[in-house]
Amino acid sequence: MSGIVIHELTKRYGDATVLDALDLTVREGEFLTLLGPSGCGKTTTLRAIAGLEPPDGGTIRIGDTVVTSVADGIEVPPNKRSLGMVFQSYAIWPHMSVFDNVAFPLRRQGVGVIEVRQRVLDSLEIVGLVHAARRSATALSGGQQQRVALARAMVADPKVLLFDEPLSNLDAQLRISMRDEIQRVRSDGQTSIYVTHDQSEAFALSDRIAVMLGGIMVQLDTPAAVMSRPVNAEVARFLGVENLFEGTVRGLVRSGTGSGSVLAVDVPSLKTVLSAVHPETVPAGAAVTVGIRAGAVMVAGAGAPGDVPPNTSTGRVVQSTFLGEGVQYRMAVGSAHVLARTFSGVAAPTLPPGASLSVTLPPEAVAVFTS
Amino acid sequence: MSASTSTRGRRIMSGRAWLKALPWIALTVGIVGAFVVPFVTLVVMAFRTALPGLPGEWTLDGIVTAFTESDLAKPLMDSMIFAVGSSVGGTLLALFFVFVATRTTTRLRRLITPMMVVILATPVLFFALSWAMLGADNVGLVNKVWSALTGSDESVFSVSSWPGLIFVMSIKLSAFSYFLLIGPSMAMNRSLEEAAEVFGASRAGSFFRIYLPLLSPAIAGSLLIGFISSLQAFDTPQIIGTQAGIRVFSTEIYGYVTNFPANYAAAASLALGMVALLAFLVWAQMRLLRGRDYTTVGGKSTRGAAWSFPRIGWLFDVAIVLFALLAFVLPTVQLVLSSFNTVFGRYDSFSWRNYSKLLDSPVTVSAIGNTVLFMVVGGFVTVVIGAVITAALRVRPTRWKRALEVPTWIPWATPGLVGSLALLGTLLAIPALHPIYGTATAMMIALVIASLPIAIRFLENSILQIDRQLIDAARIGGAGPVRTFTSILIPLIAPSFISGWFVTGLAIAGNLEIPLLLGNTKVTTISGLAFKYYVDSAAPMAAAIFCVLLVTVLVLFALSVLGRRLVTRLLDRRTAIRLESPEAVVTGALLPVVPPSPDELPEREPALK
Repeated sequence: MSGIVIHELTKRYGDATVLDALDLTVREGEFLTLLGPSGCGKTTTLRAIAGLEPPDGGTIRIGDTVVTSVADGIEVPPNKRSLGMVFQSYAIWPHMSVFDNVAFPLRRQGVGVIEVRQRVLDSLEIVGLVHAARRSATALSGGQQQRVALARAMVADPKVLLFDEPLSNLDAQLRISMRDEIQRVRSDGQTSIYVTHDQSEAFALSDRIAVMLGGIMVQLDTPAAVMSRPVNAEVARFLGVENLFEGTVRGLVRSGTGSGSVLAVDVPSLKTVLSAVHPETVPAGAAVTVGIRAGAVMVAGAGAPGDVPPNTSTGRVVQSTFLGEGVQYRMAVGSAHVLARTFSGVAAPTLPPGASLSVTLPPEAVAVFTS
Repeated sequence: MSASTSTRGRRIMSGRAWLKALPWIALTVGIVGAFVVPFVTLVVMAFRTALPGLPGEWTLDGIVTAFTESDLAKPLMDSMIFAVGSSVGGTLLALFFVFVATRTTTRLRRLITPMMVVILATPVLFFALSWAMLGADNVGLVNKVWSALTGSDESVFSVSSWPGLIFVMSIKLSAFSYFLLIGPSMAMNRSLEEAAEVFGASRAGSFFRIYLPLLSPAIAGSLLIGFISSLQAFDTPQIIGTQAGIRVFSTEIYGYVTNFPANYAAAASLALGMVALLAFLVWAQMRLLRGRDYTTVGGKSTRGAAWSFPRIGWLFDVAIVLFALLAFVLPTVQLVLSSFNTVFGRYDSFSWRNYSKLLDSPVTVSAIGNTVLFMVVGGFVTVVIGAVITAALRVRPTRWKRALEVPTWIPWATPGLVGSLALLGTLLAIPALHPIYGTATAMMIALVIASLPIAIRFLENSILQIDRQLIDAARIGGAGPVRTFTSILIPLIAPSFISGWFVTGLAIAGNLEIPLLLGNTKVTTISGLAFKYYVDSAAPMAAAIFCVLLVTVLVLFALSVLGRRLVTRLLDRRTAIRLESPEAVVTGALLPVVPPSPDELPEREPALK
């Protein structure tokens, strides 16, 4: 039993509340990512679970053990929580060899010399660093240090693994290979909590993602659900939904069948009424925000043949940027700008600024945020 | 390439070239005169039967006396005990306070650094003199209070003992060590210790397995510097140690000079032995501090949580208060109380009699005048020379400049007393200098030479940090080296120049060795006089004159702070004006050229709507 249950976790620094009564349950064996911008409280949550940062309120339970309970004055020290952790700065001890770094957790548990040797070498084998076992840890490159950190976190086979933005100090290419490495070496039974501000890491690794904003967990869902249905406009903005507009619900175009109802939303800045698929009905007159990713916006040269799909307006190219894999257009539609990204082959030759075109926001790709 | 340059240089070495070389010649002569000549004199002194300048013969007697006399073992042993004890004591104190200041949530932790600054700045003589009185048998404040509390006649603490001597030296050294250790301790990535905790180490385990080993290069450096400083120390062992029969090298040398008949050859020989030992240690220290590199590769240093110790945390607060009491509150109280009592050991009959006696004595008044003069004028001269040497030799070093810089390091390996001895010998050996022997001028020159390393140390950071392009720009703009120095370099370092002036002045005021060896009954400083009063069993008078010194220092400190603030404000205003002028904004800071005519000004980009 090594699920983690967090109840009303609260942390303040002076007047600033970093964590506001956070409730979160991590299932046993689950890989859960705390995703959010810097300062949202995700690292503080992780450090509270590790016992490195005593909270001001709340309880934390790991498995059957209450490790933190502010009300009961319980604060189990970090070394008694049987955790593995990968630190943002790797935290490889520079005065020890690679071997000694990895052996540290086993030696603290009093494991015998022969077994220590075997298990350390096994761990180093997994991360491909057996040849460097005797080297000084400072002689390693950043990526190698990260591998040592990974081996050290896993050598004692802890029930819970914590990752504190472990890839943020690596360059882009290394980041992807280490991400795969983490996925590969983690055994299935280990409950893992991963902190990051990078959505691609979160999507690639996690079973579930907890999106945190301003010390509050705003959404807890599978990566696919978080991606397709951000819970509100703020989450959408954080996840990189480029086009967000204020609007008012006119009424129901079609009531709930299958994927949901279709709402008609008046968007003054685009000088149009958009249809949008939404799982729930929203009363007419409600103020909402509509959002759509640039990649979902469809662009066609003006006067293209065929039927005009719903949610199509005319726009004028303000700026076109060649992206290599495609083209990004900034277009003036109504009194607002709409960002669209097309991919090679989809659109005809890059349209110059000033060209007029038809812009389509497919209803199933338009998200409606009520709050 | 260099050969052809030098040939050409020789060919045109006339008129203007000579004029150009003149400052370099003056600098070389100055450095050789101030550092090399005294050192050579010291060597000569060791092999002469008579004082330098007097008729005498070459002899090995001095060496023989100094190194074969049966009881050389005693000062050697005592020096080692003193140096090891003090450096360990100082480093342990420092380590404790560095840990409390950087790793715990102790309430008073922010007081530690200011407290250490005060200790660092306070002359050693203050601690030696005040604790000699504070911890005196029966009559010192500590034992008086003890007797009053317990009714016991027995003294609870006597400073004239090994523990007393090492304790007083450790106080002063702890401040040195503190500033050596606090940087590495703060720079250390906290997640290194947190990782140890997560992976099963207790707090103590993390402290001993991670924190201490990572700090070990700095700790070793601190121990070595403490050892070196203790070997060089004179004030504390002379005032506190000799009463307990503790004889270290520096007090032995002083004994050879002041006992009758004076044995300068033996003094110089012992001094040379010390210099050799210290030169080795200083070399070792430089190697050690350059040596092991424990900087972690990669990774941001995270500001980790400090440890709180709910059960024993108050003990840290108590330790801070206790240390402040022992280090400067009680010593100051002792000095002030004693200065208002005519009998040492009485603390109840207050009067101004000591002070009026001081003012009635022309020697005292002249000593006060000398001290202020030396601090203000001598300090200024020292800092200017220090700035010149640093700017001339360090900013763009060549092989020759490096060679010329070497002598300025001699004082680091030379105990103050040995340096004074060498300067005394130089004064006596060179007939041209005889007229100034025993004058305030000679003393000031000696103090300037002795304090030069401090001034250089203080200024080198700010001078070496100046962007060379600022200097180059002045040269290209047509300014000569002197003009560049006075109108670019000095204004740029003005705030540190003023602080360096004060710090150097403080070192001059606290110097005891030079007034003792180069002064006389008429020409001395407050420190020299305070020592003399104390040795003559006039402790209350010593306390009074030292209180005068403390007040003088405080006044000068206030003046220097005011001066620094004024200078900073002037500089700020200049910067502000530069930034406010519209052409600076338009053309960018890199090209402060003639303001362009309005039609040349680029149109501002219209703001996005």
